[in-house]
Amino acid sequence: MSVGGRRVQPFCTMKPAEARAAEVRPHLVEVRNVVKRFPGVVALGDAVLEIRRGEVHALLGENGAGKSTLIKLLNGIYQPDGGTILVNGVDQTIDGPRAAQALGISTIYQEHTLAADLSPIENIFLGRELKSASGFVVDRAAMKKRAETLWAQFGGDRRDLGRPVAELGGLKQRLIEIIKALAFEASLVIMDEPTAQLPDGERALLLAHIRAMRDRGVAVLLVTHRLDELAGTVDRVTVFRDGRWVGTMPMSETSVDDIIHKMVGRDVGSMAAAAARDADQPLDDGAPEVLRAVGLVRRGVLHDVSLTLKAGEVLGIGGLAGSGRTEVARALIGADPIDAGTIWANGRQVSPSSPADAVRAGIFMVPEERKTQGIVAGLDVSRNITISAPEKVAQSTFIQRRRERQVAAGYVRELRIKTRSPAEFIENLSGGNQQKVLFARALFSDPNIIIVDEPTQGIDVGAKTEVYRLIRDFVARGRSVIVISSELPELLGLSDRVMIMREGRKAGEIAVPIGAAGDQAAMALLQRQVMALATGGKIEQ
Amino acid sequence: MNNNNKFHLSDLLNVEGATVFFALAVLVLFSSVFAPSFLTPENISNVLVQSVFVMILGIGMTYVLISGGIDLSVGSAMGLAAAVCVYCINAGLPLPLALLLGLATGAAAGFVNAYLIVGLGFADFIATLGTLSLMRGIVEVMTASTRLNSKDPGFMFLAGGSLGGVPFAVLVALVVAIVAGVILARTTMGRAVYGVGLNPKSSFLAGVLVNRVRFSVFVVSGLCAGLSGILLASRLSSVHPAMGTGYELTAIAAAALGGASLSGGRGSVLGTALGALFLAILQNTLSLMSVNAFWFQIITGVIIVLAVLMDGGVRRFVAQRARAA
Repeated sequence: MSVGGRRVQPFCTMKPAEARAAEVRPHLVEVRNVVKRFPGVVALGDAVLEIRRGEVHALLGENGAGKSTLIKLLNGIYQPDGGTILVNGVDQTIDGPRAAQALGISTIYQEHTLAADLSPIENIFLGRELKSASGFVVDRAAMKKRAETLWAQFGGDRRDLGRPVAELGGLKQRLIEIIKALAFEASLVIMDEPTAQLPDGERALLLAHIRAMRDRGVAVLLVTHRLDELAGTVDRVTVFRDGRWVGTMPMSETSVDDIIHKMVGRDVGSMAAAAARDADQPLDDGAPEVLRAVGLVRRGVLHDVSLTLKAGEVLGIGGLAGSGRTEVARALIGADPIDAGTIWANGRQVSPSSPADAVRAGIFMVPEERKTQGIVAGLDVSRNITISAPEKVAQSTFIQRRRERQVAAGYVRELRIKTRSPAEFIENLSGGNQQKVLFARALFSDPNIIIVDEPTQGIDVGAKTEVYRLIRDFVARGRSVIVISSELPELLGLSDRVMIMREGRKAGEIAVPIGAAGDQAAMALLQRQVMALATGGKIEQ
Repeated sequence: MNNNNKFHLSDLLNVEGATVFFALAVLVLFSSVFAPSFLTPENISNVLVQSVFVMILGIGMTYVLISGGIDLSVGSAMGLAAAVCVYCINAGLPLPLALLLGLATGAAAGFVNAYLIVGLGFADFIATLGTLSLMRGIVEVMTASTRLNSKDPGFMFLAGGSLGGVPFAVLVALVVAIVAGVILARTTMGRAVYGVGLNPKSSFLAGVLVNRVRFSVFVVSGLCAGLSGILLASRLSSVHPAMGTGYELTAIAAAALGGASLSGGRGSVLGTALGALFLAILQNTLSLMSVNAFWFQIITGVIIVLAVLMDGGVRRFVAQRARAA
């Protein structure tokens, strides 16, 4: 059997550890039963991964499946709590990126890490410049020669090497990062979403370069959300779900549909059901429309996105991280300026130029990344709640501390926020309770539309169901919610309707029938449909 | 901090600016013992007036620092406001109008800073470094041929006169401190300043008009600089080319002594006022003790570093205690 002109061994979907018995030469990298825990979460449980010399291996899974954790274990940023990592058959402790590099493992991160004002040569050897024989002087000639040799392999023009990186295009910048990884004899290059910000043409070229690297004997571990990139480039795929290994398959023996199935096919019942609308409180079809956005455009970010929201409705926005889901919300509340588009809220046309305007129009967003965008650490719980409308606890402009504390104490009781007192600093609360404080902040501004972005990110199951209850209570009062989430059971459970974003565009919309959350088969089908739309695959009927 | 009502030392230490309060108490004690003329009414009155300029300047600076910014131009803004005010007096304008124009000059300086930083997106450090130089240049031009002098009795009264035995300048500073302190601690505007300094992203998404807040703090700082400059000119009855030079750093020092954080979100008007008082008393004591003026610089430097270190240490200690509890 042959893929891309190379000999490939026959595969099966059994665990790599079992398949290994047939092999003589050790694999390039082998992850055996690795466990990684964080406070309150098992990020990886019993993870296995095997990478062979000179293969392109795709690591797949939803957000939160454990891919990033696994990468960070391989490049030494994290240390495993259990299990072993073998490199060339030898058990290794990788205690940092330098140690990983010494073992031949280089990582290219999703975020660009090049210094824009330096030349490619300077970037490639940054912090590890080649020295002359004396050991004191940087050997510019040697570095230039090495960089030119590598650059030529990628068909690059040597004149590019002298210009600042900022003047090169996205593809060339990506290639420079690859060369930076290769300059130190890497036998495995880990790439985290290397094609994420490239236009289609450059994307294809980069994939071709990745195949060429493979043919020169370098193994590539590719993390990608673009399932349409797999065929033709990838030799084998490994799928993770909820921190666990699901399967490893040769690409020639699987399909995108099968992979999606493996990515989402968990037990979807309980979480979705916890979030779902009660059957005896169906959505009123005749309810008035409270929000309408038409043709939202933010150049390079959002392309002609429209949506509507009815009173009492929960609209879900799904899509992969970076697909524009959050950007839609930020456009609606005026956190980012839009280049075109019209927004009507509660029957009036609005053009919010900041979230303060949105608050006045009755729209409040509880953002993702609670720590950096949500809580104001250094202020206590009560002040964190009233920040959305301080004038409501103020006489003329003077804040009435007593009233403020009473209001806060009311929310603490009502939302069952676990805190010693409303005067406790918010950073001393657990994640779930912080999230409830942020919800109280939203409620305090008395909006009729709340947008929640990843409302249960990093909080435990108990707190999750409480957040779901808050959302349900809010819409039960005839108000409306837009929920953005990477967790499909949560998204489908909460929403009456889900719109899916892909690359800044609306990729489609799926109605969630009432009662679907309790039906495993229906849920699984809906999840596959969402994933298909989000990744550009075919939609299953 | 604690569940019960029992008193803990850590509660007291956790009060914003508590460090400077203790430092001030120790210094006053020291001065009373080692500088015998320190406690005379004339000297007390003198040292209080001496503290006013940095205090008012520092209060404006406190607003900027809490919001997460910095204003390096206040020393030059002092000089410029003073020069404009005295120039107007000498040009025959009525005193109230001249004073108003002086204050307006300070506010305008703050407005320019705010526009450069918030409107055009310059880094506050660079923008105010630019206006520092620009305004200093204007002051030098205005005072190039002759010193700007004024013996106008009304003008001299500002920093020389007294009401009911209390120096007028001290009363002015007291009013400024109370108004600024109440606004910062009790109003929605003050709350927003802290929010912006602690987490601008979160505050913005929660509906705080972050840019408006950042704009106003620089105007407040400019206004305070203007007032401080006018008072200093009254004290000196003249404006010299270098008037106010270096005051920006002393104002920052006073605020830092008073518990303000240069990374934003922490500080108080009371703390800064005590910080300014501390620096004035320190200088006064050293001069009463005939210590060479160079030593003032050295000792001030050491004390600022120690105070900030202590403040951080106390804070970490309290935080650890809170976690352990």
